[in-house]
Amino acid sequence: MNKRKQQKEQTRKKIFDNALHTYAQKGFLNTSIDDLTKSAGISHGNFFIHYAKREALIIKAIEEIGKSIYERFLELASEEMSLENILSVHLEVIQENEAIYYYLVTEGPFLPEEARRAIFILQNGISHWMKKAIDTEKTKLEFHYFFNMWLGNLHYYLQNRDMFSPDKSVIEKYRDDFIKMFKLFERSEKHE
Amino acid sequence: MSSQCISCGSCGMPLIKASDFSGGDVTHKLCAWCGDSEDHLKVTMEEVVEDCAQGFIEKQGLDGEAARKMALKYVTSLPAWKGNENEL
Repeated sequence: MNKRKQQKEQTRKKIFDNALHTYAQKGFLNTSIDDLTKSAGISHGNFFIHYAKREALIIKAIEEIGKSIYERFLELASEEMSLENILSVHLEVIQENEAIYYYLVTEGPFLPEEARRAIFILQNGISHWMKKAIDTEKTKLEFHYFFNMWLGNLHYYLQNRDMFSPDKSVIEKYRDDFIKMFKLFERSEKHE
Repeated sequence: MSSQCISCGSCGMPLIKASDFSGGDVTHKLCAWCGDSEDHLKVTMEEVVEDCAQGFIEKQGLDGEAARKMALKYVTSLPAWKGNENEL
C-alpha cells in the first residue's frame, strides 16, 4: 500500500472509531457531521471523501456493531448449552455493548433500511441459538413468541433504563430475574 | 472492531465447525447446504431466499411477504448473489 493510500485508510479508520464512540454517547440520529469531524479532528471536506452521506457512516457502523456482537456471541456460545446459558451469554454480550445497543433499540425504527436490516440479522442469529435450546416439540406456543417475548422484555427495560436502573447497568441489575422469569414461562408452556 | 466472523457467502450462515463448510473444507466460502464438495453453488438464489424467509417466519414471526422482501435484500447483499436483486 502506498503512503497516500495508507493515510487515507488511517483517516477512514479514525473517523469510524471516533464515530462509534460518539454514537454510544449521543445516539446515531443526534450525532451531527460537526460532532463526527470534531471528534476525528478532520475537516468537513475530508469527511465526505470517506463517506458520501451521514447515513452511509451510520449504516456501516451498525453493520459492524451487529457483526461484532454476534461474533462475540459465537465465541461464548456452544451447541450443547442449556437455555439458561444461552440467555446468560446473550445478556453478557449486550451488556458489554450496552451503551451503543441502547441506541439500536431506541432509534431502530427510524434508522435507514440497511441499518434496520443489519439489526434484524443480528437478532436472527441470536434466535437461531435460542431455538436450539428450546424443545419446541414440547411447547404449546410457536418458537418465535418465545424469542420475541424475551427480546421485547429486554428492550423495554433498556429503553426505560433511567427509570429501572438509574445508577448502573439495567442488565446487571436484572439479569438473574430476566432468566428466572423466562425459564418459568418456558416451563409453563410445555405440554403436560 | 473486528468483523472476522466467517459466514457462508450464499446464505450467511455462520461457519463454525469443519462440517459446516462445503466438502468439510474450512478454506471453502460456502456452507454444506449451498456448496458442493468443490465449493461450487448447488442451490439457486430462489431456493436460498425461500429458505431464509422461512427462517425469518419461524424464528422471528415475520409476515410472509415482509420475510420474503427482507430475505431477498439480505441474500443479494451476500457475495454469491450480490447485485442480483432484480433476478427473481
